[in-house]
Order: sequence, then structure tokens, then C-alpha cells
Amino acid sequence: MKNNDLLQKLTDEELVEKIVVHKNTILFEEIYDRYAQKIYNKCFGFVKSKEEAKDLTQDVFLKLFTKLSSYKKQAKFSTWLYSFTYNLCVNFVNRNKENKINKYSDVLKDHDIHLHIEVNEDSLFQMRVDKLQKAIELIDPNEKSILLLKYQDDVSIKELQILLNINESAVKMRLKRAKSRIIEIYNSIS
Amino acid sequence: MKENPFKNLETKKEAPKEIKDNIMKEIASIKLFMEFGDLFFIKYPSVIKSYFKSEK
Repeated sequence: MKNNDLLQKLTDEELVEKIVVHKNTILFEEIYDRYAQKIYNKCFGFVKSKEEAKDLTQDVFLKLFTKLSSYKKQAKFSTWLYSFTYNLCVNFVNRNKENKINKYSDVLKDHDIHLHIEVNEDSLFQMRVDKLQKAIELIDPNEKSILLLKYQDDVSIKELQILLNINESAVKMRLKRAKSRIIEIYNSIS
Repeated sequence: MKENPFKNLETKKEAPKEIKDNIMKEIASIKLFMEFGDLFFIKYPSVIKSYFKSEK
């Protein structure tokens, strides 16, 4: 019981540091308990099937155990973990060549000329949740992940630079394109 | 101010219990594998060196 209390007092970053050094599975279990529900639901948002979400969640935590040493504390651990999760989700979705998302995105690429329109956050926040849900299922998974990092997980531009390993203007450009696309898809849904 | 609709996209489902059991079992195997790796390729590289020398 006392050990459990001690574990719960450790920050994510302290836990990770100890796991990397000692490969301690009990400490890793604590990380799992803190994030399992969140990660499962994030995976569920990309696949929409209980079985696939289960497999993806397992994949995320297994890869996390072997890749924890690559976390360099440049961003909050939770932020880094969400980005890590989205990467695996994007890979998973992209492997499925028959899915509708890629077909839809290819069509949208023909209309790139319209994507230079500036989208302000007010128009993003005016979207209806049910319609946004449909639109986010149709957008390219890479664009979906940057939108979720920014608007669902509140990741700053600076942290996005670190996580995506690109400069500030590239982050802003990707965000701008993703916002334009989501608005375009949203408006095309009746 | 309008509520951010992205915040309401995420579901709030419980992660199935069996995920944890599967992960912890797999991690025990991964850990064992990593420890063997450390043992032969980091802590005792001389074991490998001497093995190849004796093969010649």
C-alpha cells in the first residue's frame, strides 16, 4: 500500500526516468494505469472498431516500453505520448489501402488552390460536434493528428515544432492546411 | 466564447481489462530479451570476441 502511494506521488517524467534506467515493469504498469483509458480512446478515434482499438492500444504500450529512452523531456510526457500514439494510429490507417480516407484526400488534393484561405479559430469553434465527427473521419490521418494535438490536447506551436521535428513556419503551414481541409470537408457534408 | 468542439470528439470508453494482462506478459518477455542483449553485447562484449577468436 505504501509503495502504491509512493508511486502515485511520482510525476510522469520521474517515472519514465526510472523505467529507462531499471526497466522496471511495476513502474511501467503505473504509466499504463495513468494513460490506458486516454490512449484507448485516442486509438478508437482512428479505427472505430473495438478489436482494432484494442490491438492498437497494445501496440502503443509495447512500443512505448522499448522507445521510452527517446523521450528527452523537451515536451510534457503526456504530450509526447499523445504524439507517439497518433503516429502509430496514422501508420495503422495508412496500411489499410482500401480505406475511404485516402481516396477522399486524393480528390481534395486537386483543389489545393483553395486551401490558402485563412481559417480563423472562431470558424473552427463554430462547427457542430456531430458534423465535425464525420469530417474528421474523412480527413487525411496526418492532418487529423495535427488538429487533435493542437485543438484537443492543447499542444503549443513550440511543442509541435519539437514533436514533429520541423520549424515554426512549417508547423503553421501544416496547421493552416489542416484547418482549411477540415472546413472544406465540413462544408461538403450535408 | 464558443466551446471548442474538438474537446467533445474523444470517446470516454473504458479500456478492456485484458489489454493490461496482454501488455504486461509481452513486456516481461521483451525485458528478458533486452537483458540478454545487454548481457552479451554491452556488459560482456569480450564473450563475443573470444567466441569468434576461438572459431578461427
